[in-house]
Amino acid sequence: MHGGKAASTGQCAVSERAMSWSIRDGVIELALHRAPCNELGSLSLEDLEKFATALQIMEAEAHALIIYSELKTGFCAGADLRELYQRSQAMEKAEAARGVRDFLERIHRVLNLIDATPLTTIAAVHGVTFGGGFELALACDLIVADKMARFCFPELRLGLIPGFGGIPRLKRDLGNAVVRDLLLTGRSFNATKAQQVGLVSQVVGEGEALRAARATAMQLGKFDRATAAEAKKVIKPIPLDELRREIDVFCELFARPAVRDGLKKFVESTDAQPYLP
Amino acid sequence: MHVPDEKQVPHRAFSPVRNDKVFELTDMQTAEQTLDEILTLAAAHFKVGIDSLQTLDLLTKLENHFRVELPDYELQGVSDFRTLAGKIQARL
Repeated sequence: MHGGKAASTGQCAVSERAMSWSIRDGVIELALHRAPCNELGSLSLEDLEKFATALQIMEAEAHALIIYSELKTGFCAGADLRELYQRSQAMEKAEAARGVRDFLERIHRVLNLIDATPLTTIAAVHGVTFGGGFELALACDLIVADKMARFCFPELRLGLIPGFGGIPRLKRDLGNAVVRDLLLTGRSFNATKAQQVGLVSQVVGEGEALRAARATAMQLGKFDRATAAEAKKVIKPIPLDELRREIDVFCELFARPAVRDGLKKFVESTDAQPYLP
Repeated sequence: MHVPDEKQVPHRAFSPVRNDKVFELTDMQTAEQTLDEILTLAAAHFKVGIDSLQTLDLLTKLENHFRVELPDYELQGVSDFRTLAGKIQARL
């Protein structure tokens, strides 16, 4: 369903296929709702691009952005690997490579925009926050996690590295040892561990992440927006060179036969536990 | 640590020993509902094979309840309570 309406109270709501957004009392909320677990494929990317365009207009009326998932399964399980595999199979190798690079550059543009917005951004996460979903959360200033959230970069299992900006953003936020642990073991961290290492700002009860994020956003509204925006520019550099390098490395790796085999195995697996390393 | 056969264990008795200490019975009682949920999920895992998202849920509940860190790969191939208890015990 597409469409939007502006109410006289300053509220505006837009609903797209994979997500919807609204603004109320200076807080923009982006709600993800593409079953089964908000996998990021072409449909989600199109909606994210629409959101990014809308964000640049809504920013003038807001002080905070909250990103969350309406699905019980979790925040976001990452890239839509099935779509990636099926599309790459249907193309010549060179065309598939161009398609992958194009996708990465587009999603980087969106995430860079979220990363750099003058608004204070909060990812309210629960359940699976893996791969591209983890990268979406990392683009935000704060992560509020409910106690059932888990964070993971499983890309190594497929012969890849995170491609949506995860490595430069993780390096920006955490010590290198923790980054190595996450990337090289492919294991997941629970919310408590994630808070201990400095990744998560608040851990709350199950189902409480959005409520806590809204309370935090309300607090943020008390401060001068311009000052907060300037502080954010000082604290949070965008690692553009490293982000571009990540795209290059991802594309180089994607060309390897091992990646096609890994994707095929994941897509065709009848294993009940494909998300485990 | 004595780990009873899984068929005979009432939920309250499933208690890995934390070094030379045992959970206070009152702790077990107040945590009983949560432990029941965990054990129900674990039983489903062992008996019928649950999907990976439910396995991750189980992992999180175990970690939160026993205050340990269990790398995901530790759960692979775990097919009974004894092995699971051993994995948890090794992390206490």
